[in-house]
Amino acid sequence: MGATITIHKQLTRRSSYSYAFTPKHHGGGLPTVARWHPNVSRQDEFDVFDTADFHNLSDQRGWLYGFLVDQQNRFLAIGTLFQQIAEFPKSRLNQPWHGYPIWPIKKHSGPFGRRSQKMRPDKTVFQQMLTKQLISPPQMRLLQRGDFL
Amino acid sequence: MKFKESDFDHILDGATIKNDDFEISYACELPDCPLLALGSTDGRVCFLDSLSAGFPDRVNASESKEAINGIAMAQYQIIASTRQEITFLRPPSHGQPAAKAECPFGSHGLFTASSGVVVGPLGDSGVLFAMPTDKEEITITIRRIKELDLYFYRGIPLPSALQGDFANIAFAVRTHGIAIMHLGSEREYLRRLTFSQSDIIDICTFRSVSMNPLIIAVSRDCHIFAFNLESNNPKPLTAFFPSITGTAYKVLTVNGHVIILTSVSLFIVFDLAMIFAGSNRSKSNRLIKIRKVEGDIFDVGVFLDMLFLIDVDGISFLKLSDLEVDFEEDVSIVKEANDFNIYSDVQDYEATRELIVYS
Repeated sequence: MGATITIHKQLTRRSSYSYAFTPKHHGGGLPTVARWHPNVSRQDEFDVFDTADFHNLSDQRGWLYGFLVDQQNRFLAIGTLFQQIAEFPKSRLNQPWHGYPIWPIKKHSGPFGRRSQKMRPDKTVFQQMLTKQLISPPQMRLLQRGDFL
Repeated sequence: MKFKESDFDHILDGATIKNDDFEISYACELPDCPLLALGSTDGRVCFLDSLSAGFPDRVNASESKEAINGIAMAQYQIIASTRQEITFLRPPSHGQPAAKAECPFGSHGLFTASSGVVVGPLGDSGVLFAMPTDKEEITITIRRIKELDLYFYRGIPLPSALQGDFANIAFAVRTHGIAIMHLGSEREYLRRLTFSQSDIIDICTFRSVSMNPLIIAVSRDCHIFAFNLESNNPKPLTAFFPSITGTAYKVLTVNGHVIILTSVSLFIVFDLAMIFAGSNRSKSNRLIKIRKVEGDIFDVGVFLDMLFLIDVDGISFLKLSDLEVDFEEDVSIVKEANDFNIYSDVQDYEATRELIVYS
């Protein structure tokens, strides 16, 4: 990954969204910034986004959430700290989307009084995954607790 | 409950409690008192002191209404964790009203160390230590190891040899193996065991009267490891069973058996802890009895003389004496693990301290 933003050549199947790979989330940001695992290829990263858009796995803000499974349907670690779900903030109209792995639990990231970002999917996202039969009921319970699958 | 009929037949004197408006997300036996603590998917906690009593009053223990993933009791206070926050609940006492204090970050569960300090594994943020008080505030300490990115996932208390030890605890730290953290009055250290290519998901201890305590761990791909806690040069043993399939979520020991919960099923491996610990250890292949318990089970634990199984419909109890039925046999190779490393990472702890206030 170079130091510049690159745009993936494919668009998503459902919404024809374009997707950008950002240096910040590929090792170019601060050490505290979430990073995609080096084993996750660009195509894999796009597939996570495409899955999120295809199933419309979104929260109230319109942010999308995706994941990657192997051939046995096992959740894979997509982040450098074992994260298994990626978050894609809603992009501006006609702008490419971008995303990053998110932690299963809210991080301690500074003084307690400081407001921090949620950095974890809303539980309604897990319900959507269940409704669309992407996860099983026990898997939803584990995700709700912040466990890894 | 979604057991096969054949499994259900063997829940003899056990009980089943179905979810009503309290959807169970977590349960644990609280040490030193015969209480089963239960957490719900919407952040409430209650206690069961006998199976026929049903659920008594339910306490809201999560402002965010997230699913409870850990419950501890210390200094007569209830502490509950979710992926969003850790909440300290102080009951009314000596004319003081009930009070609550909250840490605004999530934890992968909670437990109490031998000193009574509450410990929470915070992932890559480190480990939380807190001693609840009857004062206005609690000091929260978060320890990280400088220049070592450990992911503290599941943790357990270990027996403490020395009076005055603050904490003797162990954690599954994923691809970094198992971390043993000792915080004592005389010395502090962190020792790690890593197993090549293994992603350690959960750990537990096994101790019998005549044996040194063992730590038993499971990797995500269902390899089981065991090593002697009190040895300065532990030679881990490892075992793998072709019939144990899926992604491992949890390991525990009961009556010398090892129980593995995976994405596929719950597996009871008879006598494996005894084999790991005991004199009848053999390096050759041997047949070991394994029972597979089907169902949508997502957590398991021990309460009194029963194994409890939590699934999406509620919680059920299986008498330990009834475990050894309907088993199959599988070939296991219990052998010494070759690809392991022991590190003494001592030392340079980075500690963050803050106060949270009861209100």
